Amino acid sequence: MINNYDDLISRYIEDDLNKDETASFEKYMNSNKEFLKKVNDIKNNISLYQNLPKIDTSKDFLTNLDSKINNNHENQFWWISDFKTAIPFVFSFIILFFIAVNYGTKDSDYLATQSKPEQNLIDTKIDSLKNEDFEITRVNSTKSTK
Amino acid sequence: MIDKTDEELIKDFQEGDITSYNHLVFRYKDKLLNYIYQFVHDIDLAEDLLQDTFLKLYTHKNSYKNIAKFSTWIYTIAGNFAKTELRKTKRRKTYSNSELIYSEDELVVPDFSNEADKEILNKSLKNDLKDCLTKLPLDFRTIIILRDIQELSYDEISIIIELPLGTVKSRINRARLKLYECLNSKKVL
Repeated sequence: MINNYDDLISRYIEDDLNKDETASFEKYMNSNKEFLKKVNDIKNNISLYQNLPKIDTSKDFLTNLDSKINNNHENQFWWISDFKTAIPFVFSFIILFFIAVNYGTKDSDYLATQSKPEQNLIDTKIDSLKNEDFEITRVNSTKSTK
Repeated sequence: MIDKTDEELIKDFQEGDITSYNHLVFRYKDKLLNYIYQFVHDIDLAEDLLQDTFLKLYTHKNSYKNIAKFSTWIYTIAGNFAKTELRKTKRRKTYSNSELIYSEDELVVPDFSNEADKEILNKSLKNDLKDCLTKLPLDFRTIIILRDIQELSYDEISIIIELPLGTVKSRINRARLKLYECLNSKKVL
């Protein structure tokens, strides 16, 4: 028992129904003019869509495709071409870096040597302070004994 | 070379034979252009997307495994490009279908008594067919394009849209009924 014949229209048009279904479908279709028109219209629509004018690719389609493929190929290796351009800059940077590092080392050595007397002075002061403290302590102790 | 199947050509191309790639391009360029065009309705854009499709075939040739037909694979790629573009366009611009389809002269109700008028009727019918197809939801539209315009088999469609055969058959029936209603409302039948 078929409930909805609308569901079978495409299968009927494409000859995909079994014998019993086809017989039942055709019986219903022949008894219902509106449904018959619907089936014919859908069949006609399919034909109209199949016969819609087709478009072709333009004359320069293949040339454009070829360019696109070549561009893509170049883009895949962009880093190589960029690296070639960057080589002089990278090389210059490395040289400048070494110069800066060496110059910086000399400066720090220079500063380190300059700061030694300063450190000696501080040490001296500390020593003298220690001596003074010692002396004060001794004076105090002298006072207390008195 | 021309007698080779698509699957043999793609295999040769995977092994480095560029001529096989060219044969595949020749074999599919017009079919795929019409397929993409039905989504975007712009020839230049359709060509651009077709080039992207063939570029992907070129750059991702090894993604194709010989478990499916080549045609379903290439239609899937082209369909994905077309649908992505369609979504982008929808986000960018909201337009009415009437603006897209009709020009001013096409809105005049014609008297179809001579050859020139018949041409107008023909043009009007084509526009109605396009308009109704455009108005269909994307999943229905895709299936109509694949079945009724590209004339692919149900098996191929089932693979391309990744749905079981039964679902494909019922969906195409519903899509055709929707088209029928749309075209009937325009009284072109």
